[in-house]
Amino acid sequence: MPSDGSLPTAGDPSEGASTAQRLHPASPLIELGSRTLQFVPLVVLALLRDGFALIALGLLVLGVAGSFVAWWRRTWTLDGRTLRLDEGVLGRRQRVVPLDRVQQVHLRRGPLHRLAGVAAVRIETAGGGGGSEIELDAIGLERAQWLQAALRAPGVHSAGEDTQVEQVLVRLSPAEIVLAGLTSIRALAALAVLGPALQLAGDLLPVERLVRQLDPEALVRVGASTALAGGALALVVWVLLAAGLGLLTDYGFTMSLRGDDLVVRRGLLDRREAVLPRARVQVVRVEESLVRRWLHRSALRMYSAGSTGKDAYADQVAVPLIRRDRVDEVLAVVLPGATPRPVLARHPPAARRRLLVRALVRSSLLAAALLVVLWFTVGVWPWGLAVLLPVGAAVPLALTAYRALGHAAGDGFVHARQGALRRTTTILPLRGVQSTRVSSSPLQRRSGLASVHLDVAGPISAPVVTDVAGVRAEELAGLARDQSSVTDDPPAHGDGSDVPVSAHRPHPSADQRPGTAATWETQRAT
Amino acid sequence: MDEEHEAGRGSTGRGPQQLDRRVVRAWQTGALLAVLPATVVLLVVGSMLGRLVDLPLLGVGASAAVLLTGGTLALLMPVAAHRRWRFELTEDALELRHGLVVHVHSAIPYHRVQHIDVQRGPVERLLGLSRLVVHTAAATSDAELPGLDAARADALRAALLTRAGVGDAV
Repeated sequence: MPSDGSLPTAGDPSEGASTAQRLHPASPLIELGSRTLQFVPLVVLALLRDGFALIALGLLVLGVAGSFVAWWRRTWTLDGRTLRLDEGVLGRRQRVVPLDRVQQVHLRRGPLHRLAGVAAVRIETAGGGGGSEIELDAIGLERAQWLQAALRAPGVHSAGEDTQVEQVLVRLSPAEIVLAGLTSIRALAALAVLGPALQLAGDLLPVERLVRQLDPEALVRVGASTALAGGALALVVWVLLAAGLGLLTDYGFTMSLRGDDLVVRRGLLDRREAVLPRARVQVVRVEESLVRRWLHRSALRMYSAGSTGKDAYADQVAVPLIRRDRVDEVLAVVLPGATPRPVLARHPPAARRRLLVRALVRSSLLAAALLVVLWFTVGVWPWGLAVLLPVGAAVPLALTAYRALGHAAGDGFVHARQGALRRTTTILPLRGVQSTRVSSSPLQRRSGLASVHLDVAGPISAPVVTDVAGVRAEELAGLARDQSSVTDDPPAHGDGSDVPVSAHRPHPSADQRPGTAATWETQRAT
Repeated sequence: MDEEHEAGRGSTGRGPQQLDRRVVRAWQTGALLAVLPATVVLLVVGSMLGRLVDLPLLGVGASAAVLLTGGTLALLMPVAAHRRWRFELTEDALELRHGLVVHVHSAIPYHRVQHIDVQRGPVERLLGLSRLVVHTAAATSDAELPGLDAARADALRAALLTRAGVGDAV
């Protein structure tokens, strides 16, 4: 029978872990707390009609009881090399996760969790798709932290020596987080939402109509000032929104190294802690938007086979903002051996020609479409001059895109950079390359160009080196395949100064192989 | 070049190899099956529109044009695609070369092979063909060999698994 799942009062949180455990007794309460809104209709109903009060109360009791029964019937077991989850009130369901399939373990603590001294543990296994993650919501904090450590290093169940020592790599001040929020893509999205919203508010507020009734001639003056005030208000709201969103997700951001794990902590209300063994990092991307380039700032994203991509902001291991001159320092820790970053080779002039032609063709098509629309609406003159805008912008953008193009390969890594406005540098350890593809479109073939795709584990879109000479493309693909096999015996390359990247891997490539079952599920009815 | 010949036996031998010619028939069938419904829809919608704008032959004309061009392409493209298709078991990787418009050259190192599926659709079954799907840990890997003789597909699978180092387990 399952033992009591409450937080052990004694010092050792690992005690009794190999037997079936319940979640923390506070779990059903937290679950109910997160569903408070669902009970609002019931309460409203009960208040409106006398007769319904009893029914509403009954439903409420049923809901609460259901939560507790579900909690009672849900247990987890950590035995040796697997984590087992048994759940289900009537139909029982069992899920088994082999520990060497675990990609990432996150801790999440909302306000209720912090009140109760517990944390939700979310376990991601390779394989993507539905059901590839398990959330144990919630477990006593101490026990959750112990579980996180145990899952990360299979077989190491005692609190290891290195688990306590943490080296902080990045710590962001609130000011930097606000800056990150203001320069993020979400800030742009907020702007897009805000425009129509403010217009709607303007329509609803009868200010202008009142003014017009009072003094029609004042309309022009007042109209201008209301527009100005509206603009200022929009700016303030946008700044607050963008900064607020940034603070909400990233407040108190730190990324540190604990043993061989990257630990990221962030969040204002929901505190999140993500742990990613660095040997599982498949791709690192350095992203620099135009604004951030002006500010000498970058963003850093790390992808593993467990990155689901569905819940991008929840489970991503990323540094939202970092000074550009510190990128290499962090990269050296995340991907030992990737630094110093090599000088990137320029792509052949044919690539520039191709970018220019493509940009001109696209912008001309856009201009033509615009002219047609104008012809039928306000007339071609003088509005038609607007078409010069996309055509004029196309050339400098294409030239910028060409200047951004660059790649380097060797020593176990491929570095590739591209993008005019949003410049992305991809750093890919070749140890993770699963297969290679070299492709060429008819236009590329005419200029003797080709693109290289390197496929890595997990649902990550393939990193690409675009528009290199055909021969070079084949050479890059071959190099990637060669070095992908080298790392199957870890000490084959590396000069001693390399930090061992495969320390936690009992089978060198086991973690790269999520195609075989990452979790098992069995269902039966009782 | 290594000398493991036990997996060779001609059927999986060295050098670039082509797909079975019967695959052309399978591809043509698939393409025609895609063209025909489009033609029917165009005929119905076109006729209705034609009655509105007083062009009674609009539907017939449009569907005939689509049937003609689509049908021609459906018959010719598979022939050309088959002519371009090559696969090869090189020393350390399975290499595929295919693609009419966009040329693709993919390579899957044997040691990255996770498992191999042999699939047979209804048309393929009629023609006695199999499709070999090689899986790696990456979702984006391109490793499908359509249109192999059923016996050859099984032999190829065995050869690939041997090279992947899991042959003993099979």
